[in-house]
Amino acid sequence: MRQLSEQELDQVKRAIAAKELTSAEILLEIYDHYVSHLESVESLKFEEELFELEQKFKYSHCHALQAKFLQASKKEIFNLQWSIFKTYFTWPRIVATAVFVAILIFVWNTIDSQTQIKAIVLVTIICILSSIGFYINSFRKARGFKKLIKSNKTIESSYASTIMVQGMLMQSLFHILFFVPNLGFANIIESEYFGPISLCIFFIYISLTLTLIRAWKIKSKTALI
Amino acid sequence: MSNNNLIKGSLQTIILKLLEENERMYGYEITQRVKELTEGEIKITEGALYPALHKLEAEGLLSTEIQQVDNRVRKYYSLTKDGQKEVTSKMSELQGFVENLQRILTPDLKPGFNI
Repeated sequence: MRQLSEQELDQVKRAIAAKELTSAEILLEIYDHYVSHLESVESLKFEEELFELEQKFKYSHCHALQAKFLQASKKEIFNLQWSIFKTYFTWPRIVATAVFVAILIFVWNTIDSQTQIKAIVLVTIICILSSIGFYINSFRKARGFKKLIKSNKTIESSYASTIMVQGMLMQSLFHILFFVPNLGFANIIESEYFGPISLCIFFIYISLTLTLIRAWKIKSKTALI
Repeated sequence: MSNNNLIKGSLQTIILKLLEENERMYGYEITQRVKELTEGEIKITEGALYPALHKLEAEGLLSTEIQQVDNRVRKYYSLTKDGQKEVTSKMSELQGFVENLQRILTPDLKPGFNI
C-alpha cells in the first residue's frame, strides 16, 4: 500500500472526469475504487493498472451504472417513505396522528373555501422554500466533490435529485387539481364537495411531504445530501 | 471455477455473507476479499458488484455510511436488521440449491449431503 503522487492523482481525476458523470454517489464510489486499487500496486505498474481500470469502467458502463443507481435511489426513497408513513399508524404515534387529523377536520370545517385555498397556498409555499433550502445544502456538498474531481459537469446527489423530482411532481399535481379551473368539469372550488375533497388531498399532501422530509433527513446522515 | 453466470446468481448471497462476517466493507474491499478467499478463482466484476450493492441498499438490506479517507470520501456498506435476517434465508436457499444440484450431478449421493 502506498500513497499516490499528485501527478498520479491528477491522472485518475482526469480519467474519471472524462466519463462525464453527474451523480455524486457514483463518482465518489468509482474514484475510491480507482485510488484504492492503484494504491495497492507499484508505481511502475500505475499506467498499466489505470488502463485496466479504464477497460472495466468504460464510459457506457459508468452511465449504465449511474442510471441503475438513480432507479435504485427512487425505489429506496419510496420504500423509506412508505415505512415512515406506516409508523404514523403504530402505537403510540397513532395518537398524535389521530389528534392531528381531528384538529385538521375541525379547522377545515370552520373555515370557508377561500381560507382553505389560502391555507393550501401557504403550506405549498413553505414546502417549496424548504425544498429549495435542502437542495442548496445538498448542492454545496456535491460542489466540494466537483472541485476534487475537476469535472465540467454539474454534479448532484442522485438522492437529492430523486427527492426534488418527487417533490415537484407532487406540487404540480396539487396545483393542477386545485388551481387550474374547469378541466372539462365544473370549477372544483365552487363545488359543494370542495371541502371534503380538499381535506383528503391536503392530508395526503401533508403526509407525502412529511415522509419525504423525514426520508431526506435519514438519507442525509449517510449519503451526500 | 470462474464462470460469471454461476457467480451472478449467488452474488447477493456472497455480499450479504461477507458483510455478516465483517461489520462494514466498501466496494473495492469486497472484490479483494472474494479474490483472497477463493485464491483468485472467483473475481467479482465491478459491473455486477456495484448494481448489486445499490439494489440491496434500495431494498433496505444494506445501510451505508460515508467516511473521509485521506483526501477522498469512502462509502461503507453494512447489514441492516432485515439484511441480517436475509443472510440466513439466502444461505439456506443456496445450500438447498447446491444440495439439489449435487443430487442431479451425482445421483448416487445420499440425500442431505451438504457441501
